Amino acid sequence: MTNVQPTEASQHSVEHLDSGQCWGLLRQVSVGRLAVWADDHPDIFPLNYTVDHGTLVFRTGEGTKLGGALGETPVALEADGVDAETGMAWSVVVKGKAAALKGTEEILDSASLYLFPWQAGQKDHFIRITPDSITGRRFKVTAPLTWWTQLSGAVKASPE
Amino acid sequence: MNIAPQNGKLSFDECWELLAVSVVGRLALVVDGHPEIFPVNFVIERRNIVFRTAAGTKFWEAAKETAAAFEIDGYDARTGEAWSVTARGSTEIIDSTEEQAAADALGLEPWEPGPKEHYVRVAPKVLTGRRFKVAAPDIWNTRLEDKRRALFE
Repeated sequence: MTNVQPTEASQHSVEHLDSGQCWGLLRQVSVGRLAVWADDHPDIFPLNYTVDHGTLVFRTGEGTKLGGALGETPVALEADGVDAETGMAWSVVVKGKAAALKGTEEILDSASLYLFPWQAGQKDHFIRITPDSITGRRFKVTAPLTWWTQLSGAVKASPE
Repeated sequence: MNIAPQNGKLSFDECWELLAVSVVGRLALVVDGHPEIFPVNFVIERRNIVFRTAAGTKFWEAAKETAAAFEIDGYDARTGEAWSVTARGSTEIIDSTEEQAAADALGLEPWEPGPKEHYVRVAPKVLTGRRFKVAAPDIWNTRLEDKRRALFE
């Protein structure tokens, strides 16, 4: 159980998702944000991931993301989404250790997963996150009108 | 333009402009040696990122100040470019009711239902942003039925 996930505090119409639901949602999108410990501070990156047999795999080049992901500290990856029509939002967090894929066979297996880098450029490393925990929740976005109109202004109609 | 500079850096002003028009970001912090990450919606109040949270009530009550990273991103359908802005700083609980009211007045609405007892501020000490061509733009268009994604035009 985590400290930061709202467990008892926001009980009102927040649905906690089981791991099967979480994996289903993780498969629906391919962009997530990775939180890592980089030297002496947390850092966060958007990345493109794919689901591979109960793990998550992403590609990356050299740099902070790789260094932080492979350090002693586990990583956390979050993905979320909002359905504009229903106003239902969801958020799934996967936590675990990250390790570089090694060996041609393992990499070829994962390359067949339709895994592409989100960002153009050299992406030489495949990193796999093996979850220690997966948690998710789904909830109606509070005040969808405010939510949407902040960005859409007067031009867009209300989603309702 | 057709060929975007890879890892094109955003100016400081561009980063603030994107923060000003964004509604949802993700906050990362480390609790007991484990990174935590969660989406929050936020406002910019005098160059501070301000959000309300009930998440981890015990955490926010105990840890008044902790290193945090905050990230927003989006996709510009017109240019086919994605962007990402990251701010690093420390979290700080806002106790003053005046300052809480100031954040409310800017339209700070918690994303999730439920009581949001804590107002938290992150004053960015490091602010970086980049814009880059997306290798497969479809992933942005299909990832959510999220109108926000189409609004940054």
